[in-house]
Amino acid sequence: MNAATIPISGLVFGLLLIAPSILLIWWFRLGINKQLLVSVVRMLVQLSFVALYLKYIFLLDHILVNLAYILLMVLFAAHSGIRSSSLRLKKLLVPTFIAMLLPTLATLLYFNWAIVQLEHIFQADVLIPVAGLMLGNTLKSNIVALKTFFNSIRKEEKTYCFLLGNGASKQEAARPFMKEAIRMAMAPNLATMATVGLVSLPGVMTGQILGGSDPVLAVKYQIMVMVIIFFNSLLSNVLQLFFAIRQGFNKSDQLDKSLLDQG
Amino acid sequence: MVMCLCLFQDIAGHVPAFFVLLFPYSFLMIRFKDVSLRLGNKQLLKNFNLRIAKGDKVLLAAQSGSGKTSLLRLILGFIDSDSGQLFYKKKAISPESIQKIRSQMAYLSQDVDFPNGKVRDVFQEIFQFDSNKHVAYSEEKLLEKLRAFDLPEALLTKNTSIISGGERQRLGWALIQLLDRPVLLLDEPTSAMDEKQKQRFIDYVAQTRKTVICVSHDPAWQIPEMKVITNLIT
Repeated sequence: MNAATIPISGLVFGLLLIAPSILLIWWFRLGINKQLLVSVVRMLVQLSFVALYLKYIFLLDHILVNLAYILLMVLFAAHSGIRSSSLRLKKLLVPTFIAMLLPTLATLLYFNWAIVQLEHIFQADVLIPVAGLMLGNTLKSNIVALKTFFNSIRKEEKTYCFLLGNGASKQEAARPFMKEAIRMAMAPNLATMATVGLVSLPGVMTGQILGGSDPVLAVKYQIMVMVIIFFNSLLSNVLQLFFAIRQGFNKSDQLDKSLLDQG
Repeated sequence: MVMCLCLFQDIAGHVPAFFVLLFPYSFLMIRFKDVSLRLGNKQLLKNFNLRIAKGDKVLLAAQSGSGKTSLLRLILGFIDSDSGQLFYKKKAISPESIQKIRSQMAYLSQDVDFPNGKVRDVFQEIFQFDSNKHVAYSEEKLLEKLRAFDLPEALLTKNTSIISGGERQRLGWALIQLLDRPVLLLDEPTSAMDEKQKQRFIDYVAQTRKTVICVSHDPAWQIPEMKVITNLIT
């Protein structure tokens, strides 16, 4: 089976749908037409680039190029993750980068080697899309974990101090907050797993079916992807918080508020 | 005015009094030396001096907002002074020494800020901390304390976030008695208790050999055993 292609004329018809959208927005004075146009243009440019370079990366399929690409993805993920968690970038960038890179690489290679059982485990057209999937999810859950951790420990600093004052080390006193952060961060993953297929068809599966795969194979991929995403996010959360506990406090175990102040 | 209290008479029964008089500084537990502290735009302490000897009971009864709680937080290293130095057993309280010093203390914060969780699990976790592992703790011992403090056994399975202020305070007392540390730092530890309960803990402090620093407005705490400090900034 092959994917049904979209001819140029089809693309044009598709983009034509933007015209009635503009009309509706204008009619209801929603005032978001400018944003809509900017967004559409950005999408067109960005995705065209992705199509171009992915085509060449897949053709080239060189281990170093593939790894470099993944490094870049992780770097962007770490950067935007810290930024949107409104924590200070500088101090947490490297740990976040490591907390995302190490689990992702390990899980990725395991996926290619043991699950899909590829001959060439750095094969670009599996490695890169799966890395993208994992990083997207890991990014979201790491942001939640970091935010929850620092917000709750700031809000309940008295509890943190109460534990320190009764024998806890920094790690021990931070543990209740770490637990809460991981639970919060992993909750969406759990919910998704529990409801998958009931409400909507998940992305990986849909993509594969549209791409011409057998639904059974598509489901197998979907299940495997959910499992590795869960594992990867959890591992990454733990590492991330481990680093946060190391770096988020001063030598006397006081919460380093400078980390939180700046947006 | 510089405040300087050398309080040794209370350790009678612990060490012979003449010994203390000969070597007063050997039994020094906590010392504030020229400590200044500003929080926000309020000068809480200015060149504050205080010596607390082993076994002393100090009551901080200055008016509210005067930095009593900060005094406890300084000792525990939760905040740093702007100038001056604190000592614990003649060793400077510093980032290097603070963990060891904290392990000598038990601390009741004003709201007894137990972490969220079932009382049973929270206690279990606290006694699993590395510096508490040597304490022989069992749930049976906690139950004994609950009974002694008129707390229902059912409290064990209740969440710390839903128990009343008075119950929390008594649970706090249970914790510090089970921890059995040489130094007790207490911040308004009986504010939510009735007279009978309160008296029980005041009596406990009066007879203990531990070094106690207590913050309280309550005149009931102003017993002969306590050295009362009513003025922090001078």
